[in-house]
Amino acid sequence: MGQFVQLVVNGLTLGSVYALIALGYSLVYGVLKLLNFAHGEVYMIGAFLGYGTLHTLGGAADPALPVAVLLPVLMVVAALGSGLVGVAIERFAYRPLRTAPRIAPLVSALGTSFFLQNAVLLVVGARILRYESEKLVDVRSGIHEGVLNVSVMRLLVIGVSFAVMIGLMIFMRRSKLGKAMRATSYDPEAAQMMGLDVNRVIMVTFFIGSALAGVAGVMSGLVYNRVFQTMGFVAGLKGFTASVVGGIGSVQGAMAGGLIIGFAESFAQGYVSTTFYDVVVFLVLIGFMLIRPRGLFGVAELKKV
Amino acid sequence: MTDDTRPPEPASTDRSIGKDQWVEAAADRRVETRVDSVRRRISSTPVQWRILVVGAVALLFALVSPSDYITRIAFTVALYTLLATGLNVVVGWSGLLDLGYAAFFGFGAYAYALLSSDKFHLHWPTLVSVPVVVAGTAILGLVLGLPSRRLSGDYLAIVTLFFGQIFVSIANNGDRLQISLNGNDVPSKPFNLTGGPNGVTGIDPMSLFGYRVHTITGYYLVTVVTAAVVILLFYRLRNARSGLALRSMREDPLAAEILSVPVRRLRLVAFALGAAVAGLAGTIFAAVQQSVFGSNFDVPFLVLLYASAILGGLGNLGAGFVGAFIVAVLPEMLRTPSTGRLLVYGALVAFLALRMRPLGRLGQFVASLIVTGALVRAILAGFGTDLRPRGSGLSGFTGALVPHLERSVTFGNVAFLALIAGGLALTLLSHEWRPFAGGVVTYVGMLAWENRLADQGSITRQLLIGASLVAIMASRPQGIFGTKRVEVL
Amino acid sequence: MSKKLLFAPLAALLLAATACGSDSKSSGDSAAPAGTTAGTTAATTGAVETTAAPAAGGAACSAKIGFMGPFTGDAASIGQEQLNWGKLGIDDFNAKNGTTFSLVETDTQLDPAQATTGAQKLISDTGVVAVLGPAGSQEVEAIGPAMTTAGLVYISPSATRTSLTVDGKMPTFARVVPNDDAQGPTIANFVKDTIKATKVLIVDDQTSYSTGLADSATATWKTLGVEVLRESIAQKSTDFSSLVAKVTDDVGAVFLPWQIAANAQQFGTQLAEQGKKAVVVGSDGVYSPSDFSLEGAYVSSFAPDVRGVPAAADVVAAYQKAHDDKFGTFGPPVYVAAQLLATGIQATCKDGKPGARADVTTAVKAAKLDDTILGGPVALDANGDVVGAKFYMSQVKGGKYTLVG
Repeated sequence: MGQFVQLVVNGLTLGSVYALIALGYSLVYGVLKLLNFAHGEVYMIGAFLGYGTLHTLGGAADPALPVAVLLPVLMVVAALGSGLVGVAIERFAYRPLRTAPRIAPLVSALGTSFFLQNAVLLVVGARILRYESEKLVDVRSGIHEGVLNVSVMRLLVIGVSFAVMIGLMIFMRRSKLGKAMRATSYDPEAAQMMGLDVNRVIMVTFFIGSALAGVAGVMSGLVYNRVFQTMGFVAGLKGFTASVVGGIGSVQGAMAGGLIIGFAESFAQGYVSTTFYDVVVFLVLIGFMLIRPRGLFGVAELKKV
Repeated sequence: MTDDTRPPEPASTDRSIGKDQWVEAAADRRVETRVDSVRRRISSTPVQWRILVVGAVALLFALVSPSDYITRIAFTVALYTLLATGLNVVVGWSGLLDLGYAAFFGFGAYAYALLSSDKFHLHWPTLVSVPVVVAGTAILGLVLGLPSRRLSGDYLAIVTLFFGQIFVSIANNGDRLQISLNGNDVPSKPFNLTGGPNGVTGIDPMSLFGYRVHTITGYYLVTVVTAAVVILLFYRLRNARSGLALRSMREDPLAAEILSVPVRRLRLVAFALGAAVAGLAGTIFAAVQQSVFGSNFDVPFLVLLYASAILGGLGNLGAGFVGAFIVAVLPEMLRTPSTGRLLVYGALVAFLALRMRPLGRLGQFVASLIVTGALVRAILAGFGTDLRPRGSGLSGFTGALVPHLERSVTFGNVAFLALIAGGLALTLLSHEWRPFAGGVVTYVGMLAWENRLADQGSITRQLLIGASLVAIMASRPQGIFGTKRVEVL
Repeated sequence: MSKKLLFAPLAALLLAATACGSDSKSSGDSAAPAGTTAGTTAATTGAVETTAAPAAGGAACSAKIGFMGPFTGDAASIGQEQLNWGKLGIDDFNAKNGTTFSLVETDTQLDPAQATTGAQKLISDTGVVAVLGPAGSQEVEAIGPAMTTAGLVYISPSATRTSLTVDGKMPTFARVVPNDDAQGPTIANFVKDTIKATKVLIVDDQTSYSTGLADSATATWKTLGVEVLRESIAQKSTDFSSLVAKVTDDVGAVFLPWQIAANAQQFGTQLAEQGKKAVVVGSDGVYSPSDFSLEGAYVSSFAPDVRGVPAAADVVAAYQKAHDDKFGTFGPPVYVAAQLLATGIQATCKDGKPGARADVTTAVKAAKLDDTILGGPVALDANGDVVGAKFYMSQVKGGKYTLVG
């Protein structure tokens, strides 16, 4: 039982990070029907921006700001920076390909990934950087009863992630821009006829999706500590998986998908095998997809004939 | 927004309302670019002749190849062509996104490795093991194709991706195949299937009709012949009934089904065909490398294969060669840093000579370059920096133009970041401002190159590959030999 | 518009590709201005000199040395450290001996397929007489057949898989680091005797380096009667906490034969987070004072820290000046391998040209370095393994490494 609760906590932490990445995929897919395979690199940039900010503000051992102020600052800086990188990727790599075959942007994404990874390698260096968050917040703080161990940092990450997701849902429902995004997603041509500037909506979508990935990068840095130039690859793949499993294009689906992947990994490692855990996870997911061919929240598309 | 100052985009690049897209695009189709005219001339010759000519030239290349290294790159081109052809059948014809394709390649390689090595002391003759492996891969393709009965589009893609990941994980950990449900205890003797991270080594070379292939030239010839035969077969298939049915399935599965095309069965056929080609390529790969490792078949390789197929132009079989050429040759060209320097400056000069017309624009560019250079040197001299040129040859020439600083890492990094920002901004500027801005950006680029990029050859190589891929796609969204077609929304 | 703008330079680029693809033999590049002479003509008929005495008189010896490593990609953190140390090694040798050896950098990304192509390039370049690298055991396996045929000597600074040197299938291969079977037993005995653990958990990171070392240690522990549990987690994994949750209280030590020190640090941090008391024991891949500083943990190394070796003081100072102090265990062996190769090549030099590849191979294998930055002499045995390999154990105390066995 104790191990079970611990695995739930681990899965929830990991799932929160995945969910934020998955949201970026789903938002962009919803508006453009585009699989943004360079999304993982935006997450990586976010993690590095967070590290750079932390370092500039004195590092984890001796921060210039109180922790309660410092962490939001890291996330905001990373979100803004990543958001801009995302907008730039859309403008320069994807926009020329609007009329191309659907998988053509894959090559642009590949090129963008090569470029961003190696630009970071050139400018920052190859050494794996650590946030050293254990110096920021003691790992033994928080809830530690018997076999259950939840550090404050984990609680924080889970909390921020859920707050951001709820905020996004409200934004999508209530705000004008959110409505515009949903309208464009539903029918881009009709949206344009109603006077929406579709290019602007697409830019905003990329900005929001990338900003979320930037926040995810900082959260990963705070809990999992390691930051390096190729970290976006695995995370991007997990985020993509999560968004499809949840039903691609759906905001709730991306959140649920992220949590599902997080839990699946945690339980597969805890109860089955650490060596073959991804085999277990993927087999379970294949079964799931066969039962629900459009993911958890996906809706069957109506075909226009 | 800066967009306002630009002339209106061609109608096809944004979905204008109130205009029929097909009619709009028709005008665009009639505009023939140079690539299109080459393409038209090529396609007016009969298929068999084209393949024979290209194949013969490729075979003759083996005779004139100056070194085994060049032959090896040519071999890689041939192998990628073969793989891109198979991928084209699955993706380009039938419209199925198969992200497990690299796993079929890996399955073929591992199967050949296990049947023809010391691993299990099996040494099957090549002409037995290869057909068995290809048949096995095709069956695996059929099995993986089964979910396509229920799933479509990106949902199918993710399931094939899962399959690919499962393959890599099993290949990489297949030296201890024993899933212990209670977790921790060490199996007394786990079953070693794949050699785990140590892979399978000591694989037999191929032996065909009594001739033992043991040189890279031999494998190059084998691969060229195989690729030519496969492409020829697919051309015949494409023009046969089932090929037409396959393509109709991509254009509109619903309409195809109404026209009594057996869509589901054909999807399976497409998967199996693609898989068989990948398996065949895998056997060649294993025999050449004489060793296989799980990491050979992971997602990065898959993306590379997609890049070959897309760059050439999806749906066009022979174009796989063009994509494969770019993907295999570009990284090797850039392997030597000094060649990279030559290429970058060469490309710059070629661009200026070809595109900077009239001459006045070239003059503006050069003037801007010189003024920027003088300014930067003046500022650096103000800080008391040593500006004496270093190096010899081309680097000496550029070194005379651009200061190479003693402790240049930070300076070079700043210049590099400025280059990215400037380069991106350049594409947004209006026509008349480009020569001036181009001069500034070029000088910044030279600063970055001489102070930082030239010292980091391997990183620069990856940067240039990445930038080239983005630029190629931006200039030819359909792929180099792809056709524009209206997507069914 | 912008489409054409981008296409023109690319077309030029591709045209240039076909033009320059054929001139790799002449190698008329500016990277190695003095290294364009081919060495094949200088084959000496007499006995090969094996002493490292600098060739007095005559022109300065110049040669090209291939340098393979994972300079970009997933293992760039290892590769970039190796790159810096390798360059320093050759620069120092040139400065001391008046030679003009140059390195031909070849990125492998730790991928056997890329290593094969890269090796072919070096083999086809007749000016290259020796190769430094590659880093991984898989890559050594993959390029082995081609290198054997070419008779080109290559020294890996980090490939430790035991079987590479066993049956003489790769006669031109050598390495300056001891193999897994030298390290595994040392750690196993130390854990049994000093930490006095009766139950040990091994977590490998699913790499060739890691599984080999884990197997070797397991074998020793089995004979010592220590209970061994085995788990594994991919090197790229983000989270270790679910694995940590499986560590029971009776596990005395967790052995991490890992290459990424920062991963081991994170594993230890998560152990602490969940209140587990098991002691972390790292292999030499974890030996990196800047990245692994888990209080009370142990790490092994096959040489004392170069920062404390008197003979290495100047070199370390030069490295710190040019780069930083944050290097681990992968860099310094590259320096030694570079020196070893250079010494061997120089021994064959005549009139400023190195001997044939076969002569260089013999000379490199016979070369001896009396005092290296690793704190002692380095020489190779007949199989290409380093002579007299011995491992040391250090403990992390107050952020510093203290030698304990």
